[in-house]
Formats: sequence, structure tokens, C-alpha cells
Amino acid sequence: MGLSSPAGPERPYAARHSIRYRFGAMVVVPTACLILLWGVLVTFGTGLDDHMSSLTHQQLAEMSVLVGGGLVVVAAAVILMGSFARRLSRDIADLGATAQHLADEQLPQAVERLRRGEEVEPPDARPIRPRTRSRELAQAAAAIANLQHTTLAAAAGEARVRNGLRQVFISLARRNQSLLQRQLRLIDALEQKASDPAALADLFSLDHLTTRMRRHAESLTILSGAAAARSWSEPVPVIDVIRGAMAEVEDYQRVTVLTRAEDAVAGPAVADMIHLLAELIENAALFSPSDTRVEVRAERVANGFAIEIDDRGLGIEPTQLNDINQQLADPPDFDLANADRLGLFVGGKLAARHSVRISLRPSPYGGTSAVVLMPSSIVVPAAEADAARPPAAPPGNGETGPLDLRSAERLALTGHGPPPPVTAPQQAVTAPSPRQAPPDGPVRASQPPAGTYRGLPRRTRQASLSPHLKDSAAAAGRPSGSGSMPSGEHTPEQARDLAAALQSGWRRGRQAEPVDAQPAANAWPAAGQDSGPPQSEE
Amino acid sequence: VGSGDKWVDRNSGPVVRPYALTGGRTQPAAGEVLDLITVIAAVRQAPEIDDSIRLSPEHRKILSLCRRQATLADVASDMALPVGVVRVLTADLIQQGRIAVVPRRAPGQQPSTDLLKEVLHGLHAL
Repeated sequence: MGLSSPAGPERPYAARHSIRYRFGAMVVVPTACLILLWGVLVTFGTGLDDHMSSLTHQQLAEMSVLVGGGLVVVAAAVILMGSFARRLSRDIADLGATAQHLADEQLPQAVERLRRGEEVEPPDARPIRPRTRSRELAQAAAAIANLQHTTLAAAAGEARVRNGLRQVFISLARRNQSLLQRQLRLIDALEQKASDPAALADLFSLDHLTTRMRRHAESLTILSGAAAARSWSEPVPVIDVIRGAMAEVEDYQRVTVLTRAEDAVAGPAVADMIHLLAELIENAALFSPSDTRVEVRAERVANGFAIEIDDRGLGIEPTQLNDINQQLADPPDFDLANADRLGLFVGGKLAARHSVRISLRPSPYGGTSAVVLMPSSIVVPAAEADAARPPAAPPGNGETGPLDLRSAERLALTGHGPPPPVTAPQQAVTAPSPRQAPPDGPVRASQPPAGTYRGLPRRTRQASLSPHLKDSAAAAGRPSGSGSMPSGEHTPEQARDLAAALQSGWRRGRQAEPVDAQPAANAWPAAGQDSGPPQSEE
Repeated sequence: VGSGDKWVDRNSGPVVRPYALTGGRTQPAAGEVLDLITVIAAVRQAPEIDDSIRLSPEHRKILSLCRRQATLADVASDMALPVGVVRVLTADLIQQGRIAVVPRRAPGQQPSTDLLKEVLHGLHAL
């Protein structure tokens, strides 16, 4: 019944009377009547005095006192009731305010936090503490508290369902991705083997389809709020990131990348940036005629690094452009209703993750141009990027530089010039002190690279020790076997370097077509060359 | 979701898929015939690289690898790319006149074993 008669909407608040008003009306009217009666009595009592002597003065006086006493009682009752009414009105107003606060702020916040997957402390058992002593108001307060509890429980339930769905999404996407990744590895291997252009073309189509499938699986992961499954620890050149994104787009052959920039994207942001650019490039390719080009330019700007994606389509209406920009700047919570703009939603979400700014604007060619501004925090300048990358293995030792075409046969036969120069004699001359590598070790193992393969400097044993300490340390170290190794044995570092070099050699050997033992031969000069310059400086 | 579903660095596969390097082309431009043992070298008087914006990093890497002569197989192995891809990229560079194929001697023009033996004897006799 209470539900079927909602008094709310049909009557505005102003048309209702407050408790005070009603109480006033209810008290003032009888009191006024009483006062009127008393006045009548007093006036007419004196007037009747002459004609009717049946009522004596004394009787009149008694009546007046009686009526007066009544008035006093009434007045006392009015005061008591007034204070009660005031308290009632205040309590109800309090209750109203609390309920309002609950509905306007507390509950939405709690629901919002539940949606984001955060924990919300269970609603207070007595969130509303009525100061009233009336049972009905206390019951009303309890009802409101109950309501709050139920609402939060419902929101928590919904959040649980959402979270469950999210986990299902993530799990499915990951399984998909795992399979696709394996498939891509297989395709990689097949592409390495393919010698026939036609077969390679087929493999390329397969590769492209698989790459696009992987992108969609990734989209699902991103929509679920999880991190991308692929990741890089080293910076990746921007041009590779752009081309990686380009490869994930259906019409990649229409995309031209124009940039001279040698900056790199920080490893942790690479996967997300590839995906973000892929969404934007796909958008550009999708909304422009299939015979036009999509151009991607990239350059360093004062605030970071800008990538511009230009299409030659019909363009977007200004109002719609505004909408999209708004959505990209502040991605709304995932809503199944805007499924047709999934790509933009994913883009906005990724941009928010790395505080990347994306803006769309009309292009001078009539189409749309999307500008992605990456903050400096995720861009590694060219010089630093080069230092961070492992030094590339040189093509070989011996002669470099443009060659005489006449000496072709010799090179074609030997593959890689003379063997790497062994620098051991030079080492013996320039570095006689015991701080050099073990004296009689194998030649290669006795040349620890001056840096790790990632370019970090490597400490030289006892390099900064004073001479007399050096000798004693070496002498003390020998018996225990920790200071200098017995000749012919590798230190752990050397053993690791050897293993790493061998491993990289094997890997390259497997990847390459059958080209004799050249990859393994190549891995060594790389380490040998690294160790070259610093040692000759000493 | 186990840790086996995460791929780091090399396990993530190449950042740029091979087909994107050639724009999907698998046939070498202008019908260049390049097999695994074709010897290529950068042309000394190569045109000044002014339109480097059109050259991909892979083109540039091939150029640097070819500063000394190398077989196509060597280049492909050094770049860790499929030979088919390197072939297409190399053909691009040949078309631009940055790389030349070192002509192979025809079988008839090879020095005969007798001639070589004679030279060897001559050397011993010195």
C-alpha cells in the first residue's frame, strides 16, 4: 500500500505544511476560542451583574479563576507540546538529511568503488543514530539503514558478477593468445624455411590473419582491465612500434610510415602503444577509401613524442569529433551499449594507462588526423636507446668498408674473412699486474668482456685495490680458491659468458639457413671486440 | 592465469612481423634473381642517402652488412630474418643502385686444375 500511493511526485514540497505549521494551527485555534470565551465571560459577567443577582460576585470570580486556571493548563500543554513538536520536526529533518546524504554521496561512492573492484567495508550496523526517543522514528531510521545495507549488498553482488565475467574474459583471451602465440612461432619457423615466393606469400597471409586475431584477443584483455600478455624490458624503436601496429591492421599495405626519428618507446609501454596505434591506424584505414593512403608521421616534440595518423577519408562531423575526443580523453566505464566504438574505447583506456593524449581533428586533406602525444616518461631518446640496446654483432672481422668487386670469390668462399684476432699477447704486455684475468686460462676465457652484453660496465677484480693489498689478497685468496682461480678453470662469470655466447650462437644457427658454422663463429668476435678498446687503454 | 601466459622480450616474437617489413611483397622487385649464394656488396659510389626517410631500418642494416661483400644467406642470418624477406629488401636496394650483385664467374671461365697446379709448382720452385 505504501508503494502504491507514492505521495511524492504529484505534490510539490511547497504545497505541503510543516509540522510546526500544523501544530500551530491545532494549538492556536482552540486557545483562541478559550480566550474568547474567557473574555466573554468577564465582559458579560459585569454586565449581567445588574439584572441577574442570582450569580453572585463570588461565583463569577470563581468562574474566572476556573477559566484562568484552564488557560494556564492549556498554556503549559502548548509549551510542552511545542517542544515535543520541535524535537520531532528536528529529528525527522535529521533523518531526512542523513537519508539524503546516503543517497547522494555515500551510496554512489560505495557502488563506484565496488564497481572498480575495491573492497568496501561492510555497512555500519547503525549508520544512522536517531536521537529521538520515539519508537516510530527509530524504526524509520532502522529501515533506512536496512535499505543501505541491501543496496550495498546488491552492488557488491553486481560487482562480483562483473568481476567474474572479467576473469572469464581474461582467461579466454589468454588461452586464445597463448595458442595464437604458438601459431605465430610456428609460422615464424615456416617463414624461415620458405624459399619459394609463392609459399612465402601464403605464409604471409596466414601470419597476417593470426596477428590480427592476436590483436582482438588482446583487445579483450584490455577491456577486462588486465595488462597485455606481451611485454618488453628493453626500449623498442618508435619506428618498430609503429610498424608493429601497422602489421596488426587489415589494410596494412595502404599505410606509409614516414619518420626519421630514432627515439624508442620504453619497454613496459611498448605492447600498449602498439595496440593503441593499431586501433587508430585501423580506424583511419577503415574510414577512408581503399585506394587512398594512410600516412603515419612521428617526431619528437617539446612535450614528448608525437605520432600523427592522417587519412584521406570523408572526415567526421565536428560534433561527433568532439564526442570522440571527449571519449578518448576520459574513457567512460565499459558499457556494452557502445560496442560499435570498441576500438576508440580501447584506445582511450590504453592512453589513460600511460597518460598519452590522443586528439582527433579534421585533416587538411579532408579526412581525419589523429595525433598521439606520448609523454617523455615513456619515450627514450635516441642516444639512450642505443646505449640500452645490446650491441649488434658485427658482420665479421677483417676488412670492412666498400669492397673491390674483384675479391669476391675469396670472400664468398671463406664467408667471413680471417679468424678473430687473438689479443692475448697484447694483454700480457700491457697488463702484467695480477689484477688481470687468470694467467694461463684458455685464451678466449681469459678475455672477460669489459661490459655485460647489455652495455653495463663490469667491475675489474681488485682494480681499485692498493698494490700491497692486492698481492696479499691474491696470496690469501689462492688457498681458499675464492680469489684467483687455478689455471685452466673458469670463473663463474666467465662460464656464464661462455654459455651465453654459445647459446646465442646456437639460436642464431637455428634461425639461419644452413650457412656452415658461421653464427657460432660470429658470437665470439662480438665478445672479443667488446673487451678490446678498454683493455688497450690501460 | 599462470605465468606461462606472459611473454617477455624474445618470447613476445618480433615486434614487426616479417610481412610488414616488405609490405606483403614476396617477389623481388624487377625480377631480380637472388639465390642463397648470390654475393652482394654495397656500391661504393652509392647515391647520397638523402631520402633516408624512405629506407626502413632493415634496408639500412642490409646496407651496413653489405659494406663488405656477403652472400644473401649471410645477410639473412645476420639479420635473423627469413631469406625471402631479405631477398625482397635487397632487390629494392639493387633497384635503387645502392647494392650490386657481384658477378659470378661462368663455369667455363674458372681456372682449370692444371693451371692451378702449375702455379703451385711455380710457387714451390721459388
